[in-house]
Amino acid sequence: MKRLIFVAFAGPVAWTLHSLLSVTLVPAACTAPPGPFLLHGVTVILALLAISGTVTALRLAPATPGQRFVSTTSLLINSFFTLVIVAEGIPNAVLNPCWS
Amino acid sequence: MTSVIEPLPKFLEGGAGEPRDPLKRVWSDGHGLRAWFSTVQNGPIVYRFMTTVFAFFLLGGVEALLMRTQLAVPENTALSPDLYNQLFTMHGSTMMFLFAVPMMEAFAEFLLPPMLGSRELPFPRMTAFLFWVVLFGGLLFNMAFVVGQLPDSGWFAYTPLSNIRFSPSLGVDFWLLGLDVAQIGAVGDVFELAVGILRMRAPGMSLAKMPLYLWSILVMAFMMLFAFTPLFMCTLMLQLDRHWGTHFFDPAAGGDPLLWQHLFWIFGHPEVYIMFIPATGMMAMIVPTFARRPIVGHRLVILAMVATGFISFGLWVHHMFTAGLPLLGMSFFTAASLMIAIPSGIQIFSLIATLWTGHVHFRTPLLFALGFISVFVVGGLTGVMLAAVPFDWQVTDSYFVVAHFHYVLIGGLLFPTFAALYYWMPKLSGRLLNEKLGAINFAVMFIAFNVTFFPMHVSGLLGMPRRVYTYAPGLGLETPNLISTIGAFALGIGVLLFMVNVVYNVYLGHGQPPDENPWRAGSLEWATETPPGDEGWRVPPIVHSRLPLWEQERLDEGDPRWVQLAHALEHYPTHFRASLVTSLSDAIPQAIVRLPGPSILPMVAAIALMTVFAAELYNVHPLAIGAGIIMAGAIIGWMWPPKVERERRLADDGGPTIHGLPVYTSGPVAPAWWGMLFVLLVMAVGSACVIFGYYYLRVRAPEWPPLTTAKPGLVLPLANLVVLAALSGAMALALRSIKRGVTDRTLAALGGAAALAALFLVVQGVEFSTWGWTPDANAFTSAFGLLAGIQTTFVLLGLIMTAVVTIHALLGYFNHWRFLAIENLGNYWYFVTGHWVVLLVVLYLT
Repeated sequence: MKRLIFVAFAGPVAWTLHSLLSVTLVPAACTAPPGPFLLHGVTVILALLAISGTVTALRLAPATPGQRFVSTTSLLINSFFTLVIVAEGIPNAVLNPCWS
Repeated sequence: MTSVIEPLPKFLEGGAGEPRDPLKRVWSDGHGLRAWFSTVQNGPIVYRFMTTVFAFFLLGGVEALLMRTQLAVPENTALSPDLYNQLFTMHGSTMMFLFAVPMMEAFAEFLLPPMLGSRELPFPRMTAFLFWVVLFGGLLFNMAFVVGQLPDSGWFAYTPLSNIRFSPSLGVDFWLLGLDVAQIGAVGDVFELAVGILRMRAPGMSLAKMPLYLWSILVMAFMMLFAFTPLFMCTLMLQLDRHWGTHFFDPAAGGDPLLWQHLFWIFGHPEVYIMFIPATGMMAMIVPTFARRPIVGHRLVILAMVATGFISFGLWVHHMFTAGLPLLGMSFFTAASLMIAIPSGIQIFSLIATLWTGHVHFRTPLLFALGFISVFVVGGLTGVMLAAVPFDWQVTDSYFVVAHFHYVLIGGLLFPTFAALYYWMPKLSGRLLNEKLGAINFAVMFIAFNVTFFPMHVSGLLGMPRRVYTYAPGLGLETPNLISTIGAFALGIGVLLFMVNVVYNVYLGHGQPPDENPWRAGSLEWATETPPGDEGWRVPPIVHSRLPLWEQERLDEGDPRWVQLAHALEHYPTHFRASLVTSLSDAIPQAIVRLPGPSILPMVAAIALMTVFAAELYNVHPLAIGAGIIMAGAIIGWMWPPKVERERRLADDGGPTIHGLPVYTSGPVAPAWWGMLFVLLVMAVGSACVIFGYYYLRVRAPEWPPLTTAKPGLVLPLANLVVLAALSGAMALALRSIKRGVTDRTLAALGGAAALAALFLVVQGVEFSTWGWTPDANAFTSAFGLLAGIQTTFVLLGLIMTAVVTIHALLGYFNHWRFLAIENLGNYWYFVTGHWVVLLVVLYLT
């Protein structure tokens, strides 16, 4: 059950954290020594979290049709949120965090 | 393929007066004036709910026509600038708060029981309460016309324009308080819809077999929970700023007007999808019916709905691109705003592919569905354009934006609503609407809509700002504005045609009575009586398919145990309103739930709620307190066990099971357990919004707390933590004792819990007296005071609930298999204790 809950929410939770952390860390990325790498790190870690949801969904052995439905739908959702996290990470490579 | 459950024998239909059939009798709400006010049946409530909401829609439409009249020619003087400001505020607010979302809720309330295969939703009195609060909240809001104090700061009421200095009249207060009443109903409806879908589906209707409309309403319910609660909290903060001297949005005292924008748009952007997602759910039922094939990409559409629901909460900053935020920060929201086009596109392409590969029958509901697809796509495309920061900077607050959101809202909401009204009207009223008039109705509305709003793209690109009551001649704005005005009146004629169709065919009864399944649809709701009887499904259906009416020979075959159960439920129990509870993912029967009957108390509670807010509007605090007490009494009475149940409980008669299923459940099997879970979620989200505001202000403050303000000490809050920990322990003891049947210890533990809650309030009162400042000193004290006040309110509510449950225990209403109220109360107190730990960290330790 815990794994099922993990695969259902890994992607959306990773994306939520990515959005909030990225916005919050922009001023720090402008002034702190790691600079934009701070933001790249956040993107990589949270994309990995979403991907782990996808992988776990692939490896699940659902016991009932309902669980099978949740795991396959979660697989799609986690894949999609991985894509969104990557898309949100692209501006970090293009824009200077100090620009306003 | 026609699906069959044996119809009710004629001799059981009953004659005048009381039905002879015991099942019909127990589900009947009776007749007469008292029954009219106390009914909890979905049918009559939804009928009047839709009528009320449609009346608000007409009012908003008239306001729009007045604005378009003013803008027909340059430098027109038909309306004064002030009246124009008031009209666009009332128009936007009416359409968004009193028409769009309530209409979606009304449809859901009507369609869920027949589509779920359930006799009722889990909290029928909440349905009645929802109607009354929307009615009274809408009336309170529109009382502003009567007293001549209309709000004029727009439907999003930006601060500082909406604060007491720049909006000193009561207009903004009518806006805040009237709409708050309606929003409380909306949040209450979340419990009804979400718990109904999660726990009251027909046997066999697993998540995979659930119709897409139910998925859309499930997503909508969760979105409403996470969106309307922030709205309620930010309107509370503005009201406190306006009349209680706090400084959340006052930069002179450490507040920040941008906090309002953040909190408002955290609600405001998902609001668009709260309307759009159920609308696509409707389309996903209507389009396959007329394409005569299942929808293409069923699972992808579910993915799209769920993903849209999540992402819609990460787009709010694209309404604030001109507010001076860091460029990189805005780009994250640009990326998310572009990415939401993927799930939105999946939903649209799924509908197109279904039509492309089906055998299409062009009937009025499908025409409106096609209107939805074409209009919404245009709105979606301009939405993608507006997600790009440079483009947004060029056209923000221009008529281009007005055109964009009307394409989204009218395309994504109004056309689907009309499609749904034409499609489900036979089920709702027992009469078909006229098809020819329906087609003309669609043609007029579709053309008129585009004539009205397409030229606004041009006006906007030419630089015409929104919310300005007139424009100068010679700027190239005359022609597009005149065309828009002509189109707006034609759109009004389109709406009138619909009303003629409804009045003639439904209210005057000239419409044809429909067949059992007039559109040859495949979903479950068309297998019930038309209109559905009070008892809904006499024999709960057994579902093996997503489209049972197309793919199942009968609805009462399958697992023999389920078949036996379904038929047994037709005959027993008939001394109370019984409905099935099924498991979360696979819909396996788990319990029989006892549902409440008619009551006037939801209406009393709604009137009292409106009186609280109306009294606050004029600062008559004693009246507000009195009305609050009446409301609390009404809610306690509303939840009090009825006589039949009290007698059975006290006699401990009949045993805890019927047909092998438990009647008194606890934990996640019980719908009320889920209800409490959602209550706690609402409380958590509301508190999280204020915590967000606290940190938002803190990050921007040079000193936190300001040098003139001392931060309160830690001793008393820590003492209160000990009190709450002991209280949680007492609740755990009470639950363990009642499960073992030790009622004396249960009573003692409940009494102890109540005493500890009172002690918390006393200690909290002492702490308040040691602060040395009041919440109206600066932004720090305002945010600190509000969070502390929220905790105090939670404990006060908990104390009242504990007192009520203790009285129930004294009366002997609990035993070792009837203890859900104690379990729910325990969960409440565990949450309140955890909440206090969070506040200790936020307020005192960081």
